[in-house]
Amino acid sequence: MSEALERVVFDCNIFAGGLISPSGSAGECIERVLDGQLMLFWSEYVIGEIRRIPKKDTPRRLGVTDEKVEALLARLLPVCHLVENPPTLYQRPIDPKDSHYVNLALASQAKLIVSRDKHLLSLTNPTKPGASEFMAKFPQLQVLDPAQLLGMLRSRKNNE
Amino acid sequence: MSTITIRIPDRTEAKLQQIAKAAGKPLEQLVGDVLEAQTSGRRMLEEISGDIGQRFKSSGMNEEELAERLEQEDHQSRGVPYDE
Repeated sequence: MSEALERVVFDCNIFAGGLISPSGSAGECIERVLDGQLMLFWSEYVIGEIRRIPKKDTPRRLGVTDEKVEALLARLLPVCHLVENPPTLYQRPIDPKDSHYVNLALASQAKLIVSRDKHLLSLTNPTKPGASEFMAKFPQLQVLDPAQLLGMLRSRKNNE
Repeated sequence: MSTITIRIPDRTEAKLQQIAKAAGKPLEQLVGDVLEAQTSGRRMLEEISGDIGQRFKSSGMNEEELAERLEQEDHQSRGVPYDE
C-alpha cells in the first residue's frame, strides 16, 4: 500500500461512462474509489453535472435514468469527499467546466484529474499549445484518462 | 447497526491506521467503509447499471466512441464548442 491514498477528481463523464459500461476503464476507476484505493473529491457542481447525465442523448437512449443516477450517488456519497465552493485560482474562458475541475483539484490537494475531455487532457500534454504555461503554473497537477490512471495504479502496485 | 470483533495481525492494523490517517477518518469508519465496499462495491456498478451495460454492448459502440459521444453531448448541452 502506498504511503498515502491518491487524491483524485473525476470529470462527470467518468461517472456516465461507469454507469454505461461498468466493466470498462471508467467503471474500474469508480470501483477503485469504492474499494478505498482512491480518495475522490467532488463538489455540488460535479454532483449537479452527474444528475444531468440522463438528460443527454446517448445515456438516455441506453437507459440511464434519474433513478439509476441517484442510486449511484447514494453509493458514492459515503466514500467521497465534498469540497464546498473551491476558490477560483484558475480560469479557462473557453470552458468554465474545465476551470471548475482544476480549481476543485487545487482546493482538495488532488494531483490527478481523470477525464476523457480532450481540452482538459491537453492541459498537461506537453505537445499541446498552452500546456507548458499551465504545467509551469500548476506543476503538481496531472490530467489523465481512465486507462492512464489504472495503468499508473497497477505500476505502483507492481513496484511495492 | 451491528458490532463485530475481529483479530487481525499487528502489521495489518498498522497499515489500516496509516490509511485512516491519510484519509482523515477514524479507524473504525475506515474499516466499516472498506468492508462495505468489499461486500457490495465491486459489483455495485453492474447492479445499478443493470441492462444499460448490455444495451451498450449491443449498440456496437466501443469505449472510445462512447467517450467521444459523451464529451460532444456534454459540450453541446453547455453551448461550448468541442472541435479542435
